[in-house]
Parts: sequence; structure tokens; C-alpha cells
Amino acid sequence: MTPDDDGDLMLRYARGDMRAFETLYSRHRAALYRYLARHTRNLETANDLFQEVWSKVIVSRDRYEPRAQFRTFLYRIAHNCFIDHYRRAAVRHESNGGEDGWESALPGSDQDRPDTRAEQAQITAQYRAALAALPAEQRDVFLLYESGLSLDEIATINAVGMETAKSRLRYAVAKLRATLAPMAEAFPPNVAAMQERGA
Amino acid sequence: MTHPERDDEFEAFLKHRTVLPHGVSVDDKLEPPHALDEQVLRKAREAIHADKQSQRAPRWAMPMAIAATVLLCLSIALNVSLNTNRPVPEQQRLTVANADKPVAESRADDANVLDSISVTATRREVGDERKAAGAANAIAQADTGSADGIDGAKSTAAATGRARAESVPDAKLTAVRPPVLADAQSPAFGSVAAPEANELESVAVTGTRRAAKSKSEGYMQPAERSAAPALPVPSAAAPAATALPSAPAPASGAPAAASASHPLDPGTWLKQIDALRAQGRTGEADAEMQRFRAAFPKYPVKPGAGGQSAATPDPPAR
Repeated sequence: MTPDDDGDLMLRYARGDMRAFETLYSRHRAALYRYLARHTRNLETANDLFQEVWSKVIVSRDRYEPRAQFRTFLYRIAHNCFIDHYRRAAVRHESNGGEDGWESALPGSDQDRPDTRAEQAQITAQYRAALAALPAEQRDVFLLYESGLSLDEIATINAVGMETAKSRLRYAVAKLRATLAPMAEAFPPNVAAMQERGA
Repeated sequence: MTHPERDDEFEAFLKHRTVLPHGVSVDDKLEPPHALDEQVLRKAREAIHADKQSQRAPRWAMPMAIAATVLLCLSIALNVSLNTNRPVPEQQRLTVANADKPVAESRADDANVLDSISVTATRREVGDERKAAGAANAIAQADTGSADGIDGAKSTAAATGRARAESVPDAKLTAVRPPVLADAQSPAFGSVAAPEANELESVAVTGTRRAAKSKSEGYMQPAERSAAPALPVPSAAAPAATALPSAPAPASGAPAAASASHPLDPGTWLKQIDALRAQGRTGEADAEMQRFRAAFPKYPVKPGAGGQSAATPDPPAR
């Protein structure tokens, strides 16, 4: 997958090629959904925002210009959608009360043992708590970086300088590590998982 | 100032993109539900269909375009057909100098005939009488040279000439038959009494009425003299003039008929009649007198004199 391919697919969709959109959607649907789910911590809200983001992509197909990567374009829309949602939720005083057990929606592995599943749930709960405790800007930068975007792209999406984005990311990582350090000691390193991530 | 250990941790995060312990993943398998996928794809598909429908021309566009095209073509054709049967206004603005040259040369087609007629009208407007006579002479010259192509020109010129003759307010103006038209009574031209010839004649006469005035004063263009060898001189041309077959003229058009065969004003005409009488040609003088009466019924003539001494306002010095 190359960025040019994404831009080209979007242009083809703007000319009426539905298959191009299907390809584009299949490439980005999961990462975008995870980003929104982590941000909102509510699957129902994530579903709404996910649909809203793609609706805006569809509507803006005629105005799309491949000046930047399509991923930057997509996540900028998602970022703005989330900010709008965050403002609406703040007005309704629902920002802290909308969480659900979204990790329960994850498909479980057959190889997972019950004890392992319980440990995972514990780590996930701590991780979510630490993530929620982050300031919104730092959380956003962190989630965007986890989604695979570069610091340059994150700076573009947040309309800040690259150093600012990097600084926010540094603070977010430090806070999360501080929260999750005891858990890290409890879990031995998984070499296979590290190789899978390209380490 | 950053801690060295924290820098290492941050670099590790930048590399692995996760802060979770090794092997722990929170939501790596999280994906949108299938129903949500269907909803997004359906929306994208509908947007494409809506685009195609909006880009398609409405059902009435094609018939409307065809009707507009046909209407435009018809209006253009009608405009062209109407404008080809009348002189173009720009042609009337031709200068005399420019008109004299091509008139005699390009007489073959009817359009040039119209040009010359228009030029004649222009000359009348500018008052250049001598050049108007020359142009009429040239018209007649060309007419005698191209008997085949003259019919259309004659008919067109007749219509124009009639219209202009009606528009001339001076009913007493004595028109002169163009000298070349006298030549035009050659066999190639046909009879003078032929309607077409008469019409052309009237056109030329109309175009050269004022030129005739100058002729009556004794002036004649060199071109006219060369083109009209049989031009009747007032003194000697009376027999020739009377020898011409006179076309029957209606009562209302009597002056026009008389003016077509007698180039003179009443006083001069009476002088010619007197001259005929003096020569002993009484019959011809009487016939001329009758024509004179028909042409100028109210012109005062001394009674009993038989036209010998016309009591004209300007009596001739005898």
C-alpha cells in the first residue's frame, strides 16, 4: 500500500468507481475504528463517529486533492469529528459517563486461557484508566501515533508544529508507562509478539 | 531536561508504537461491525448513483435543443432570403467615383444591376447630376451588350424605378429618355413597347431626370455623346423623336408618357412645334401639339395660334 494508491483510489471513487472506494475502505476501516473506539471509550459513539467520518469522506470526494496522504485526510476528519463530539458531550455533561465495556466486544482467542484472559482484562482496565487520565491533546497524539501515523502527519492533523506533537507524545508515553510499569514487570517479554510488531 | 531512561522508553515507544507490556494487546482485533460496513458502503454507492443522475441531461433537453436549432436555422434562412431581394443599404453609400468603374465592367449579374441602380439613387441624393447621367448611360450600355442577363435586372430595376418615380414630388419635371435607350431599341433589345423595356426605361429615366435638365441646358457628357449617336438634338431630333413608337399611356400617366418621348420643357416643346410648322410639317406639328396638350393640359397656349406662339410665362424670343 502506498500513499499514492490511496489518493488515486479516492480520485477514482470521485469519478464513480465504487470498487476503488471499497478497497480504500477495507484498508482503513479497522485502524480508524480502533482510534475512535479508544478515543470515545464507547462503541456506540464510536460507531456513530465512524459513520460520520466516512460520510464526510464521501461528501468531500469531489473536493479531494491528493496534496497530502489520504490517511492524513481521513484522520483529520476523524479528529475534527471527535472534537465536535467531545464539545457536544461536554455540553451535555456526559463526557465521563458514557464508557461501556467495549473490550468485551473484542473477539476472544481460543488459545486464551481463563487466567490469561483475567490478566488481560486487568491490564486493559489499567490502560484505559491511564489513557483516560491523559489530557485530550496528549491522548489524541498518542492514539494517532498508535494508529500508525507519523509525527509529521499528526502535527498536520492537529494543526500544530511537529515539535509540539512530539512533546505531547513524549508526555503521554511517560504517563502511561508510569501507570503500566507494575504490569510490565508482571508480564514476561513475548518475543513472538515483538517480532510480529517488527521490533 | 529529560531523563535518559525516559528517552530510551520514548525511543522504544516510537519504535514499537505501544506502551503495553510485551505480548499484551488491548484492542488489536477490534473492528467495525458488519452492519456498519454495509451502511457505509451503501451510502457511498448511493452518492455515486446520485452523481450519475444529476449529471444526466433532463429528458426535455434533447427535443428542446433540436427545436431551438431548427428555429435558428429557419430564421437565418428567412432573413437571408428576404435580404437578397432588396438592395443592401451599404451599396447606396458607394461613392460615385467607385461606382463608375465597376458598373460598366460587372454588368453580367443582377446584383451589379442593383448596385448601379442604388448608385443612381445616391447620385441623386448628392446632386451630382452629370455623373448620374453617365451612370445611367453605362447601365444602358451594359444592358444592350448583355441581352440574356438583362431580364432579371430589368424587372428589378423596373420595380425600383417605379418606386422612385412615385416618390419624386416634382410632377412637372420633364424626364428624358436616355440616349442609350434609344439605341436599345435594337432588335436584340426588342420593342420599346415591350413592358420590360419600358420598365427599364422608366428606371433609367427616373435616374436621369436631373441629368436631362442639364442636357436641356445644352450640356452633355462626352461619354453620353459617344454612347448615344442617335440622340435627338432639339432642332433636328424632332422627327426622330416623333418617329419613335409611343407606348400607350394611361390618362393619369400622360405626363410621364410625354416626358418619355419629349425631353423638353413646355416652352421648348412649343418651340419645336413652331419649328415644325415653320418647315411646313403641319401634320406632325399637330400631332405634337396633341401630345403636348395631353402632357400639359393646363399649360397656357395662345388660342388660334396653333402653337405657333405659346403664351408661356417665359415666352421665347422670336
